[in-house]
Amino acid sequence: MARILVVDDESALRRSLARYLVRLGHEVQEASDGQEALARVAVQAPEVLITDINMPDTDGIEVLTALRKQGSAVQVIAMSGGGLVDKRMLLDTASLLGAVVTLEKPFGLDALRDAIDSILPR
Amino acid sequence: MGCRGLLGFDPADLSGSRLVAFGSLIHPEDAARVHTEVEEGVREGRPFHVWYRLKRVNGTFVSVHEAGCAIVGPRGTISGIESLVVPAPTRPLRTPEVEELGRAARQTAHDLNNTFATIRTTAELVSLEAESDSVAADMAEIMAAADRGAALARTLRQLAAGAA
Repeated sequence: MARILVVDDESALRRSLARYLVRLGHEVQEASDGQEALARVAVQAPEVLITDINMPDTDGIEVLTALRKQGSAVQVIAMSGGGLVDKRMLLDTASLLGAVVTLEKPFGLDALRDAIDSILPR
Repeated sequence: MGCRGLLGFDPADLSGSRLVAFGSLIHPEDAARVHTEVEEGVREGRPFHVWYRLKRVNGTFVSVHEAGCAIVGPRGTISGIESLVVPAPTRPLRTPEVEELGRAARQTAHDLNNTFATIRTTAELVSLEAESDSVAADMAEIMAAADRGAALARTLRQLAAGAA
């Protein structure tokens, strides 16, 4: 089981994802924007970061960029419902910046579980 | 795809404008718009996304998407711009009104996707935790409706792509 940080400005979705991950046995923290996410990564050192891309102020692309600069070992799952640009393009950009899995919203919880299973050491 | 694959230039040729100034490769019809959009993003302290055409070493143009943001120092001074340039589908130029309509449609599609994602995820979670089959069946109907809604959001986004 892993320490996981869920980042999304949509509070209802964030809470549901967190509840599901707790149900799977993970230790879960939440953040509502990119700044809070970076602060929590620094303090709590999660193994997995699940982040939305389109968020006000500091978005997921900026979070990925900052983590890359810091040389952070956190494994990132990026998710997006699209924004002012095509969501696949946003997720491709996230991949280039180091996201190991990308999910297009809406997605099934099985997809999230599989994504986490694929990046955690067995 | 790296600099050589995209433009045919060696990265060192463009680094610090040693051989070629990157800005000079932007299509003349796109240059002013690119400058404005990047400048607005930097001034407003937000990431910028811009589409334009870049001249390759063989003289042909390639459509690209550039996403980036300003590098802000500890005292709030801007020391540069960091961005990622990737190949992008050709984006036809449209009138400002049509561009605005496309932007509004993309934003609406994004908001709908987030709403349907919340509905679907919560319904699936309730279904997993349900002790009664009838609740699970109701949740399955809600999830199916959310999936249909997400498909409509995709259609809206495709229409927006045609408008902007």
